[in-house]
Amino acid sequence: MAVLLGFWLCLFTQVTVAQVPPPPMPCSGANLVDQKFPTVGPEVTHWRLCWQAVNGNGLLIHWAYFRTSPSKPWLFLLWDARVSEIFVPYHTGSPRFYDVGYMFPLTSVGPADCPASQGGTVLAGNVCKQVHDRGLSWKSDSPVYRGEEIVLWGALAAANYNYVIEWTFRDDGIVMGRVGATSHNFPGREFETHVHNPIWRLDVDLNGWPNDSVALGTHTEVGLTGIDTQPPIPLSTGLPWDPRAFNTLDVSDKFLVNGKNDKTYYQLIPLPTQGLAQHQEPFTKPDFWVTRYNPSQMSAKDLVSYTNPPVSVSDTDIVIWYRGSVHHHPRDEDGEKVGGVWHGVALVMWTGFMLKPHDLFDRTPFYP
Amino acid sequence: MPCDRSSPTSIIGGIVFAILSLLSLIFLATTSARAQEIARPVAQAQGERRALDPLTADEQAAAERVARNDPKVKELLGETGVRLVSAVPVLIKAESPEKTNLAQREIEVVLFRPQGEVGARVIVNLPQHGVVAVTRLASDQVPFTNDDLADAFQMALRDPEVLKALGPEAQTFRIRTVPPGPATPKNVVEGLPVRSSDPNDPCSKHRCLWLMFRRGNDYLSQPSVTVDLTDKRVYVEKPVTDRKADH
Repeated sequence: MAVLLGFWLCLFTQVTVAQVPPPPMPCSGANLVDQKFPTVGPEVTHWRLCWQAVNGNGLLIHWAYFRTSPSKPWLFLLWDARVSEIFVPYHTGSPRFYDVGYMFPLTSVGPADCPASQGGTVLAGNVCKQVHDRGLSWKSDSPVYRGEEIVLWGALAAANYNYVIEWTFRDDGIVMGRVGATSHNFPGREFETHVHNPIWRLDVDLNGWPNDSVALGTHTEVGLTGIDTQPPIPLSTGLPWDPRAFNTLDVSDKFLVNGKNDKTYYQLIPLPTQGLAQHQEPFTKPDFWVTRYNPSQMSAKDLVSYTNPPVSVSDTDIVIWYRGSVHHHPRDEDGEKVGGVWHGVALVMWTGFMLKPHDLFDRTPFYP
Repeated sequence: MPCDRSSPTSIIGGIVFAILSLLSLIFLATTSARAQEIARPVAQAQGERRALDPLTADEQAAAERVARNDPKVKELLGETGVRLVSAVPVLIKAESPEKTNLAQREIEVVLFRPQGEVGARVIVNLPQHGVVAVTRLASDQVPFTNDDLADAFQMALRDPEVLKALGPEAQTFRIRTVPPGPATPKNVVEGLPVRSSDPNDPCSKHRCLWLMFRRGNDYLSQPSVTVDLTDKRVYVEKPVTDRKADH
């Protein structure tokens, strides 16, 4: 009798916390990443996504879903996220390299790059998956919570440079993209300053597609008063990023609200290490771009033509673009010239961005 | 008689036990049947290639063959001297995630004919061995490959300045392959696409590669070579003064 009662009690408990089944995915095996958080104990949040290694662009993310709790529906976030171009002009005006314009493969990755002791797993020989602690998530005097994240990275073997292409998916729904430039200074111009400009193409499909719109998150101050606004971006265009205006690209879906009926959006927040460059090439003038989805528009250097003539980007299928910069002023730590050859490597220099949810959760994640 | 010894409590307990037992049997039977139904498509899905799974060598060969044999592609590129640039599985957007065919094996094949510098992006439906779409690509829309690098290097090796700079080892340089294998030579040549913003510079419009020469883990500071693949010309840069740049 007790056994039977236990059975039904157990069944009742399972029904009350029934999980929404995982969505079908366009990838399988090592290319499918399915990660719940926290990694130990009952699930709170969950990522499910595909990655793809492609010569040229390197490491791509496809079809990323996030779930804020086991009983909530899976939220579609990304159709495709990639580094579209890495533009590298040198200070004397020439050369001006387009490092994604060659079908460079990813380098091999092994246990030395991706140690298991750091939560690493080597995928397909050229991608590292790391699941690990990410430091403080929140702290309130004594109560504290340390967050976790899953990081996927691969390194593009772009001749004298390696570009570490990194994608991070955090337990709190944040996505981060970074590019790190490392390896050898330019042969023959080892001491010439230059800028590495990775330009990301992010096909954000919040809650699926279409019905997405983009606004420019803007902070202004009048006297003692600060004002935050979100003017909509009606037409495809390029825009400058003003750090004093805390500019963000805010992507929302016409129908998506959280449990408090607040409109959900994801904010593209630049994370420059030192600054953002502007060069003579028109596609480098704006820092942000918003375009309407077109499967043939994948090349950042053609962004000017993609936005001319401008088309509506309201309640439709949108793509956002962002350019980061690494200003590389060579230093002795990069290496030295020994007998006509350059001996040594430049240490990794990073630039990136964050995609941060706003009013996606109903309350503080991972707070008791 | 046993019945006589039963109290009303034990009779109710027996009835509850019987009902629970019956419900348990019904539940287990239905869940078992459902589990079998669910397991079948899952098992099928596990063996099935998904849309974005990496290409096998056979799939790549088939996609390339279908693309090259398409009449529109032949019309655009001809049949000789056409090179494969890339073959990548792609997913085509439908109305919604639910309506997207996640098992579709559609491959984006990029082909390039150096003569005339024209390319084509071809979407191949692999199961149907058919072409879905063909788009013409201008030369600046086609990425460089090791084939371009091999051409550029052969041109560079005919330049006396390059030969002089590389010295007796000039003929030992080989195209770099990644990942390096056990047979990877010590001396390798690499290329980076370069495009000028000076309209008077031929490389503002032409396909140009900057060559770099590597010995083991280190790069040679000289020669600095640019090859204009369009004009088939080689430019060797004079050595730059070895100094640190001003900030």
